[in-house]
Amino acid sequence: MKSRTNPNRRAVVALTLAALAVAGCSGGSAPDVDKAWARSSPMMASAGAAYMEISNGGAADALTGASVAASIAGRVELHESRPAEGGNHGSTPMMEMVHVERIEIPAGGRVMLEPGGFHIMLLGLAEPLANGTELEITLSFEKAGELKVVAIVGDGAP
Amino acid sequence: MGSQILRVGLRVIAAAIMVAACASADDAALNGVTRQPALSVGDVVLPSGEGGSPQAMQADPNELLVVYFGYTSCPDICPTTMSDIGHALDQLSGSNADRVRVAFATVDPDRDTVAVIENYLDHFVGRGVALRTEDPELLSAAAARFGVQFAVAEHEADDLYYEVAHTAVTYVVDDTGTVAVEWPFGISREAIAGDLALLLGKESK
Repeated sequence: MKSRTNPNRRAVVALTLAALAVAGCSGGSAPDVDKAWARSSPMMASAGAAYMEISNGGAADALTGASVAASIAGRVELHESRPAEGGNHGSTPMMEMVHVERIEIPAGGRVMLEPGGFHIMLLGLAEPLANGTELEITLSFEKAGELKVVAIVGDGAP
Repeated sequence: MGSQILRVGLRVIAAAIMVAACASADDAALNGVTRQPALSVGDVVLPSGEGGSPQAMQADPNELLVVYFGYTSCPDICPTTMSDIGHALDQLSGSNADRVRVAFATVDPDRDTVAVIENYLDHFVGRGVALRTEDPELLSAAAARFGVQFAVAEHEADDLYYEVAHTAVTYVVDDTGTVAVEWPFGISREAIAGDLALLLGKESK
């Protein structure tokens, strides 16, 4: 007799999941990515940006790069928007956007990629980023290696 | 019929409340930054749209002109600002939103054609005016009047990637050509909407 609610099978599944979870932890520093999103872009825009929260339950790591399919953008870079040095005008500094080689993810810490700060810049968009669509981004971490995340296209963090 | 009368009635009451609110409102209620003395920019003129018709930095009567100096290849700061302004306009009543125009002055005319800027404004805010000049002195002088600084990295004419730094402040100009409030980068959509509603209330007094 076949039962959909076989308690033994459920226990096995639960144990397997628990084992996988433990394995994930002992694997060390795999960073966890949450709330990944990219801003929708106008028809004629050439550049876009993606944002996310990266938390790290393990040892210190660093985001060292990101990539997307060539059908999405020609080039992907890690960038930071920040007040420009020496360009202060009273309380309203110039903002500049700089290419960064790495974004440090401290041990046990959380780093926000958010508007006005760190972001993943998509250059040479093949097509506009349309509201409600999804975008797969492959993140490269120094220690944890590659991690694929799905960013939702919209106009704010999900 | 009855509901229409009710709706009109509610609008009248809402308008009365707004007038009452504005009569007692002062600049301290604004969320953005105000300067003393107020900045006057009504005589600053930049070419607008495909035809390059002169656009003074002054709103039409009983309207507001939101002025921003940026560039459309900017993936982070500019679209965040434009998107927040667009959402703030959505929070206003339709008739109030129609009294706000957003002027986007490009600091990067090499990449930003008028068509690109207009498409950009359509995407984020709807009611916009594209400001573009190829005269660097005219642009710098106009920006300086607002206190805007910008720096465009050296590049070849057909380069697609180069960096631009710019003051990321949004200026709201009233129908006298006075900057009524300035919004620093990162101000919330609600704060923008609140300031616009307050200033529009004053304008119609």
